[in-house]
Amino acid sequence: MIMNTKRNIKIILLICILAVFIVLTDVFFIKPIKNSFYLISSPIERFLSKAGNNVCKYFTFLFKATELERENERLYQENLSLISQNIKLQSLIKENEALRKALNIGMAKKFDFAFARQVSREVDRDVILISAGKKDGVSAMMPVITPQMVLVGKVEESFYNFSKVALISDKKNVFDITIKSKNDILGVAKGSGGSGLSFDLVPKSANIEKGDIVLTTNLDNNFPAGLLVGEIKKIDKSDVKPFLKGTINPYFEKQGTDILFVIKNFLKKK
Amino acid sequence: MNKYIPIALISSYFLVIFEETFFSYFRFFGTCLNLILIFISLAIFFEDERNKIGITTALISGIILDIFSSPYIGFFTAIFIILYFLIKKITSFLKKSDIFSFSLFFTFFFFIYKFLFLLFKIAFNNFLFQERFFAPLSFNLNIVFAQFLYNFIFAVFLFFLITMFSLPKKTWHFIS
Repeated sequence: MIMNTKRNIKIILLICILAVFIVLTDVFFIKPIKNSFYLISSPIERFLSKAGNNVCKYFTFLFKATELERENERLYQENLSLISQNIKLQSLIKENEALRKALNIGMAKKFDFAFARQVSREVDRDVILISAGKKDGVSAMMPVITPQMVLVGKVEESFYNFSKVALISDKKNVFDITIKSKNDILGVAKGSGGSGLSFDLVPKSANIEKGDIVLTTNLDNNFPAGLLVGEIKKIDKSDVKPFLKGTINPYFEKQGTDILFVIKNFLKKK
Repeated sequence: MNKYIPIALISSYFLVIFEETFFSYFRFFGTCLNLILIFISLAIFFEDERNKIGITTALISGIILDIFSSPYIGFFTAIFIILYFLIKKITSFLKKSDIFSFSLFFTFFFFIYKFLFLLFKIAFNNFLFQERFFAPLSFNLNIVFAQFLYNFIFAVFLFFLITMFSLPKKTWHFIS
């Protein structure tokens, strides 16, 4: 019985030492350990990411050839109308610049970017690893976008060479949006996990339709205003509920590139 | 047990890299393949009294996954170790190593893992640490079932591959 007691004490002591070791590692050593693992693995991860993307594109082409052709035609027409709109806007930009100079108003704020590439993506959470970290001036809460100004997410944790980015579809992301319909309608977007994004708190009287573009606003100071989020996929209308809800098709999922930018000079004020 | 450590270490490392890179592009209703989970389930299913490949795989895979995916060391390690003991108790009635037994085993395995993951998320968020890394508690059944179906099909496929190469039913002999 004494032997059993001694053995039990030893086991409890071992568990306590292990728990202290784990806590100390988590507090002091976890970031350098993780950074080293990511640094060693990143060449293989980048190669496999590219391979996976190419194989996926090949199968998409095989199974969705007709759909791609229709989409291509639609985009061609849309591109033509955008070119003509762009020409009209060029004259407005010149006029705007002239007015600003005349009234002595400063130019629109420019962003300071850190270049990064997507390295990997976690399985159980909507979180990606990017190749920019503290050495590039990246820190937590910084927004991450694509070169086409599509919102990707927010930096969750930064290591020396890498950073973890919580995608906008991650469940803990909630931010204000504006829906470009006949009028600009304000609402709230929430990540629903599994690459899903939903919207809520849109007034029932709002006239929104499937396909309307969704952009960020700067009301909650979460993200810079005017970034592309996605388009309305589905609208849930209910007579009982006071607001409109629905789902958004996020644009970041459709981006074929792994190139990203971290906005370094925009941080949510605490 | 010692001879399985390098195998489990190398396999877990490459499986984590594969699932987070190559297979992350192959999503099924927004869910991904969890290769580590499938690997651990197969190791535990084929474990017997002589080898301790199940517990070795659970421990090492947990540590590797903690380094790559979890904000804290010990999160997935603790989940997989508890899962190992629970699943051994619950599925002790399964005597055969056929496809039906494995399907039942994997179903229990997956849902107990999901339950433990949720439990640990609550503990880390509410009792031990601030809600830094995990979202508020929510359970999307559609995503869970989609993930189960996707992983189940792949796990059964791997089970067939293993049995087709006529490996002895209750042991894995990588090193003779």
